This record gives sequence, structure tokens and C-alpha cells, in this order.
Amino acid sequence: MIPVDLNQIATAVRALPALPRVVMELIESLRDENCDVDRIASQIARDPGISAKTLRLANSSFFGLQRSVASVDQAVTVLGFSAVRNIATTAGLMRSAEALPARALDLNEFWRHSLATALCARELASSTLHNTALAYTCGLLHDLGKLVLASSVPESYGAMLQSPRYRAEPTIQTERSLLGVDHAQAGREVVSHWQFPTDIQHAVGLHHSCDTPLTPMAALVMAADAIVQAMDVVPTVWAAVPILVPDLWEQLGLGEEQIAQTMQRTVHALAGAQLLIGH
Amino acid sequence: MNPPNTPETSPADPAAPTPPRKPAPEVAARNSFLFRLSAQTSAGAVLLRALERFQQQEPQP
Repeated sequence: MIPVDLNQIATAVRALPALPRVVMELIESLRDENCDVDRIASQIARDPGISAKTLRLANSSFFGLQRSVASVDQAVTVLGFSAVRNIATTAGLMRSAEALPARALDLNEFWRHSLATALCARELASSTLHNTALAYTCGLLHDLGKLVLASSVPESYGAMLQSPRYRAEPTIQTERSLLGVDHAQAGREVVSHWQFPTDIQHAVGLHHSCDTPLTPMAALVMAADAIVQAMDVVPTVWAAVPILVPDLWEQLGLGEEQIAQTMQRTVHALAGAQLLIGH
Repeated sequence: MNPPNTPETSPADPAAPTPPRKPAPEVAARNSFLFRLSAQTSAGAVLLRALERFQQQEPQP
């Protein structure tokens, strides 16, 4: 297998198209408590793909609304800006990631895992009093580097997926051993290229790091990723639970009971969010 | 008098509470493999015990 140079990945990332303005605004609003809700809602409404997905989910049986929601403004009123922003961000980022044709990966499985991790990270953030919307987005993007690797070095990545080592150890270890580059590094290249906030860059880049101090968002994503893998929310043939930093739960201030409750809430939330996957 | 229904013998009743989650055998087998990895750290052991709690809980309505 031919080792991969991170510069090769960086070059591929630089060729990615810029994100649509509405997605950038949604990401920028994550840390801005005073963001202009009306303006962002009108931008969502002007994007046919994102607004259609938003309305489809808002009108799904999960929310159980008495009357159907006909506009993004109405969805914001009924569901709240935070829920609408999460839906629109998911739709926008999934569409933007189509620029990464990762044929070696099962994209439905990939996005189901990403969505489950996002929902779990949101629940963990709620329990630990962190920014829930930011945690959701970090969870959604945490494995983006897999799409980058699978699309920019498809032969090497495909060969790695077929390797016996891939079935015997955490993915990050196989990537480092066989490719010389891992999906956390590759993912960080993308979110850095897209000029996402440093919170997101650290969360994506450090979510498997056991030798660098974790930022709060990186710790939330490491925990959410492991919880989702352990619960087998998205059954895959070999989905090894990643290695965790020993004091992860102490860093987050969570005990077994709270983790078990998070699992319950994640299952419930994922049931309602399934419509986000697929077209 | 008929013996009380046990979870194993109860007739299908949509109103009956759903039994606690139990992983499918192949999932359980894989979990043991996975937890050999995750239990390498104390955090992995905490996650394993939390998962066991979760699997014993009744699903939320």
C-alpha cells in the first residue's frame, strides 16, 4: 500500500469548492447568541434544497405538530431557531460534502453514524452545560476526514478497508499504520480550509487524540463517538470502539447513570432525525 | 388457575411494555471484542458499565 502524504491531502482539500454563504452563516451563528435569526431564516428559505429538507423534517410525525408548517419562518416559530438551525446545518453540510466522492464508503452508514454522534454530542453538551449547537455540529463533522481520504486517495483507502488490520483494531490506528495519515488530520484540513471556528477544528482534529489535552468540544465528540459505537446504533461489520483517554468522563463530569441516560435520549432523538439522511 | 404470564410466554400485546434491550448474539460477541479494546482504559470500563445499565432500562416512550 502506498503511504499518503498529508500535503497530498491538503492539495485535494484546497481544490474543494467554497461553501455556500448560507452554510457559512449557519456555522458562524453557532457561537453568536445575538445572531440575526430573521436574516438566517430568510437565507435558509432562499435555498430550495435546505428549506425543503427543513420543512420535511418539521412536518414529520416525530414532531407531531397539529398543523403543517409551510415556511421556514413558521418552522422557527414552532420548533425554535436552534432546532431549525441544526436541521439546516445538517442539510447544508451533507450537500457540501457531496464534493467528496468517497466511493469506498457506505455514505448512508457514514451519515447515520455522523448524525447519531451529533445528537449524542448535543445531549452530552446539554448535560455538561456546553454549547449544544456547537457540539452538534462538531459531532456531525467529526469523521469528515474519512470522506476526504476515501475521495482523494481512493485506492489506498480502499485497500486499507480490506486489510485484516482494519478488522482487528480501531480505525485510527490502521489509518496511521498503513496510510501514515489519519482521518482526524484530514478532517482538520477541511474544516480549516472552510475557515470554521477553532472549536470545530480542534474537535475534528483531536477527537481521537490520547496524547494532547482535549478541548471541551473534542472531549464531547470523543465521548459521543464512543457511546454511539458502543451502542451499535449504526450496525457496521467492524466498528471498534475507539480508545478513550483514561479520565474522559472525569473531564466531562459524567458518571455511568448519566451516560446511560444519554444513550436513551440519543436513541430517541435519532428516531426523529432519520429523515435527514437520504434525499 | 393459569400461571401468570412471564415475558417469555406472554401473548403479543401491543400495550405491553417493551422488554429491556438485549443485544443480538452477534452484537454481544462483537461487543466483547470491542470492549477488550475500550476496557484498556478506565474510561472504557465506565462506558461498558453504562452500556449494561442502558440495556437493562426500559425504552423511553
